[in-house]
Amino acid sequence: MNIASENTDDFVKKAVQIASLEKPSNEFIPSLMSKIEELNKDDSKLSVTSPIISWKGWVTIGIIIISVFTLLLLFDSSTLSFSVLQQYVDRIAIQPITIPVSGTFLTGVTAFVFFFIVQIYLSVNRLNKRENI
Amino acid sequence: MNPIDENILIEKTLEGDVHSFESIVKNYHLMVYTLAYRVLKNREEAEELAQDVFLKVYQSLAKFNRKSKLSTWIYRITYNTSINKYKSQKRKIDAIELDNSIEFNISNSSDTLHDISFKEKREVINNSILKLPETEKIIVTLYYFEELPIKEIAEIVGITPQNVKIKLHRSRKKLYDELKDKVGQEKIDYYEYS
Repeated sequence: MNIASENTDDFVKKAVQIASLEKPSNEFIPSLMSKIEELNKDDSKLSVTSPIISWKGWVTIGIIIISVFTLLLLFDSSTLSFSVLQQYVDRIAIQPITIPVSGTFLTGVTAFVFFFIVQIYLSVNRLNKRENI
Repeated sequence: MNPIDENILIEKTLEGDVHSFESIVKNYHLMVYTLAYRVLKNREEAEELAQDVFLKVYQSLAKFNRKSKLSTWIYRITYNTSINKYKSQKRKIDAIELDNSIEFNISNSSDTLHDISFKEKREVINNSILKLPETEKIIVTLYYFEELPIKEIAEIVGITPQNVKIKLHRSRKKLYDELKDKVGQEKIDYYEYS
């Protein structure tokens, strides 16, 4: 830093210190503490917050979704047939349910679910990071 | 307040001791309120926001991982909350009105030191700070008043230390250019040493 910018720095520093800090009303702390005590009535100790769905839960959900769609992709690409159910359906002599689903549709749905899960994960991380240094 | 004392206060607060949290509030409420006021430019809203910040701090204290200083964490929550509120309100300062009020103060003062009272001088400087962009106001306040290191300010405002330096350089120049004619160097010195 040269002499000129040191002078500028010194000048601004003094100015900002003259500006000093703003003061809230006298009621600020009493009012805040009454709100805190109100909060404290419900729970004498602050509880450690935890996510509604744990990471294990998310992994399980992810595995289930991926498994279901992987199985679906393994079926005939032009039709989706519930062949597991088919045996039972055959037994009671009812025609198996057949839903026409294209491979492109299945790929699209799988990709959507995948990116949706990734987005939730990234969003949660981002929000946590904003307030936790 | 040293980190050990702060950790004790945090532990006691987590055990349900409200008075320990009051000590934390007393230690930081002026800076939190000042940062909120400098962003929102409205005393009532700043006070409400500062209270929200402390409520948030109280409720999230268990999540504070203590890798950084408590002050850094509190100022970061203050910065994020203030900027979010500012953006949602799209509040704009009436620059023309502000300019007029400054000119009025200045035009009524002569060149002598005693013609500008300390209160008026403070108002002129505060108005100049309020004219800076939101993030720059926070950076200037934390750097020159709180004397925080660049790295810590970068953590608070969520930008790189290099960007903090650039913004600090810009705001320093803006403040100097605006204040040097209105509040001369000798007057600054006078109020500092008187």
